Amino acid sequence: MDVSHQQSQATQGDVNQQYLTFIMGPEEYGVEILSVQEIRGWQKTTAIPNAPEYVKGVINLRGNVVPIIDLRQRFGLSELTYGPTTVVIVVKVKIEKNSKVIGIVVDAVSDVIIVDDKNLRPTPDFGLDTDVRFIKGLTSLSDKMVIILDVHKLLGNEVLPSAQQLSSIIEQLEIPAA
Amino acid sequence: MDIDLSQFSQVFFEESLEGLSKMESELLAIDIENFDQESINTIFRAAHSIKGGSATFGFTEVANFTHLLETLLDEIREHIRPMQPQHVEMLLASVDVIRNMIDALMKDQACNDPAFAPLMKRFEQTLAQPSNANISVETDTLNEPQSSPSSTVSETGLDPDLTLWQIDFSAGEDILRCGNDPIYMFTELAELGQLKVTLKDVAYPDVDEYEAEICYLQWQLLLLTDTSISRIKEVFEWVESECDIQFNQLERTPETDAQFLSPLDAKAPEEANNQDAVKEDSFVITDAPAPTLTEPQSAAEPANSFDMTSALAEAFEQQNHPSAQALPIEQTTVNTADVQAQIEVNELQISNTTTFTSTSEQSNKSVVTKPSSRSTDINQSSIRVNIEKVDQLINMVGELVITQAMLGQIGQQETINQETLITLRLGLEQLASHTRELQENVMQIRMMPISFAFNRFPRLVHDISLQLGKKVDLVLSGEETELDKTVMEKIVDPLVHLVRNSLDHGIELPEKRREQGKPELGTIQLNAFHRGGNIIIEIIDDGSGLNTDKILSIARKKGLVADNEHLNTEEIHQLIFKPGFSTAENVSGLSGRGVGMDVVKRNITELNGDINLASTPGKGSHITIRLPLTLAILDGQLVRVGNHVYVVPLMSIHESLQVSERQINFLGKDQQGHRQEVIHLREEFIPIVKVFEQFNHQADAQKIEKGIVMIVDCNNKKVGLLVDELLSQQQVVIKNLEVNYTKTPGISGATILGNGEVALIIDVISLTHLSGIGHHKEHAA
Repeated sequence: MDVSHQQSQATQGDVNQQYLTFIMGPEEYGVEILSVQEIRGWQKTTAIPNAPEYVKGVINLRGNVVPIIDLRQRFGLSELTYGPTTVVIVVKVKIEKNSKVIGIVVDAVSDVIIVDDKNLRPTPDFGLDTDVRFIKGLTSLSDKMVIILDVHKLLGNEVLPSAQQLSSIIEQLEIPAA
Repeated sequence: MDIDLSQFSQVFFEESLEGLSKMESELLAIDIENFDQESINTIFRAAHSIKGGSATFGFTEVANFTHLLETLLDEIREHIRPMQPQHVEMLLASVDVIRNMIDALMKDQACNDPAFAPLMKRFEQTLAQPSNANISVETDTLNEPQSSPSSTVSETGLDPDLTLWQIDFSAGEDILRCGNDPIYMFTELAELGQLKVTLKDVAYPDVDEYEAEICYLQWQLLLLTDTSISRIKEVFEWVESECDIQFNQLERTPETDAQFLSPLDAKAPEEANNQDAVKEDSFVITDAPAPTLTEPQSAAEPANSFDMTSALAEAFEQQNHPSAQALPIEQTTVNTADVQAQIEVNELQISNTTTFTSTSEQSNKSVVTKPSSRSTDINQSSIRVNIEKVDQLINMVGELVITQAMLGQIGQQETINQETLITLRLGLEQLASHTRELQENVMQIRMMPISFAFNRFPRLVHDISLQLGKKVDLVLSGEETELDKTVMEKIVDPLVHLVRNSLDHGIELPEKRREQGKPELGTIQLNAFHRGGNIIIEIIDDGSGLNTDKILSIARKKGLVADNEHLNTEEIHQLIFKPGFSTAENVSGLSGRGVGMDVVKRNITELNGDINLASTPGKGSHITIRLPLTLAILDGQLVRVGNHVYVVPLMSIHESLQVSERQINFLGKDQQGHRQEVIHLREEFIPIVKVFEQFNHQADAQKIEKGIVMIVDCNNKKVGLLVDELLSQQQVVIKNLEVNYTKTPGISGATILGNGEVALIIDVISLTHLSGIGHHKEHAA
């Protein structure tokens, strides 16, 4: 991927946005880079009782108590054992009027890409019973498809589709890309 | 010169709110027949500083409204208008209106208080009414005492023997730099006679080019006096060389007199003019909310007043007393005392407006930046801290530095022998104690006396008892008791609700009280005091108390209690905390909608406090609220459950013990077939909550006799928590879990331990509830 070339484009256009992409399972995902606060390695968490399985617990981030969410599990992918290379992306999301700091566990951080909003394809319609607003759109990068997530809706929405629904959505997403 | 006034507006808001509370409490204390001059002065001063401040910051609406208030107060103060009960009511209502206006300004919103326009009208009507002096137009005799020095009636007379001087005064640019202030000259002139100061409409430089130290202003002064021209010139002696001054004697004609009395001058002339200068800019630049007045603005619009708000107010005022406008000058006269009074007023206002002249340039400039910067400090709240507390902190930091130096010295030593080890330990001990003290003192900064919450109650009780026709005496005690600002903010609404309930449901009507042989005057007591690490607030009334039969029958009707259930008195009292419960026969504006007590209880529980109620029929009720002193720090007991560490608030722990198997009993199955385990301890049966079960953890001790039972207090009932091991006790700083996560049942917050890891703090009440014990109990109740 020619990052430098795209960056030069970025300075000219207004609608270009930078996204941090990361890999999880077979897919590549992107989040708005402005919402990313930091990227850090996995550390032991303090479990929260009776929390959903994908909530790994909370960590002390310089005096702030920050919850860690395993996005793999959230998307219904198989669980991985955490190692020193496991990455936590700390994002700052706006939920209603508050901003919350949340860490998401992903397989690996991949790249920073610049996408023109025009090149962002809308999310295919999966029928009315599933809420896919957390996907901002799709974009293709060389021959790969990148799913651009809207972290604010993804982490803020209490009534997100279940993990099974999510995994089926993501499976369906592969079809247009391929 | 870049002075951004908006950085001070927060201070203005706070001071205004303080002033308003002061006004409110003084107003409530006023005895109409025999009021204290000093209290009127206090109210006047408070109103005056709000007016001055709001004008400085360009809040014209507030300034104009407060001006009316001030005029009325001034008339009362000068005994021109007798104090009447409706005045007090109007002033109280205006306190509310101003408070709403300031609230709106703080939030940067337009104020849409529906009470504003009618109240303003009422004020203007009251002020337009002649006071004690009779100023009817035709029959006025020469020696009739003139009415007020205020705007509305001051047109009544000018002595024809006096000379009218017109002084055109263009202050040199350097006048302020030379240390001369036109204000002082005007004050001096005002002493010589009646003075009208008009600001000339001159070309001002662009806002960006303003310089604070340059005086751009030019005035036209009209002076009605009997002093000689030489005396007048004396006033300008010091500035003659650098300023352009022209003296003209004007012929006394009705026209010139009318000009002299033109409405703009009616108020403190100096102030009005300077305000206009400020207001004009704020009007143009900040896009101020349109005035709520709707009256036609046809009447005389002052030539140099660009301000629509004040022009409208002016027009409005004239509309309300056309007779005063039409007064033929010849038939009027001046009462010497009145002139004196007016001069005094002028003086007072002039001296108070010094800030306008000296800062007018700055304020003009700052107005431009205001909208953006004001919005940034909406959410900033601040605390006023007693200087003593700050000094204490400085002392303590000093101690800390000394200890640090001592420890540093030890660290530099080559070897550590027994002796240095002892000094080291000593130093560390000192460090620990200083840190603790420092922490306590920093917490002290957040502490405020509860009077901040209590202060609103005299007014509340006054208004409501009037509305309900009840006679109530409110007794406050322990107002100086301090508690955390956050706790205070959250406790106000529940307290208001409880006091309202006591008034509405508790205290009986005077006739009924007489029948029952009680004094007609009911009493509500509000007490606050410290007990242990808690603050206790009591609300005691000597009203009718809770009617247990009625509560029970309503609860049965609403299906909150099964027909065959029998409850004891205490359990019946608890029913009023149930959602959807109300005993009031008539739903009033005050209470009775049944949304109250459960919300009160929830709010208090959220603060880690609890509420208790005792009541004797016919004698009254006694509500006790217990609250933690602070929400920021907690003495905690660390416990281990499996490989998880939790913190239990030390405050709620009665004791911890190991129990033997024979102490354990089983209570019958509930719906889920779950057998509740209880332990028999000193004649008490205490239900056990297995923490690992509730939190879905793997614990070492699955059975009660294997682990440690911690007896904790849960809403005045004892509950045992089963944990694996007791770890250390330590003070923990509470971190809110909800900031980044959501509310978790059984957990009240989190804290960071010495090793940097996060530990969760157990919320005993919600954990017990989670286990079903609380739920079961409440169901039974």
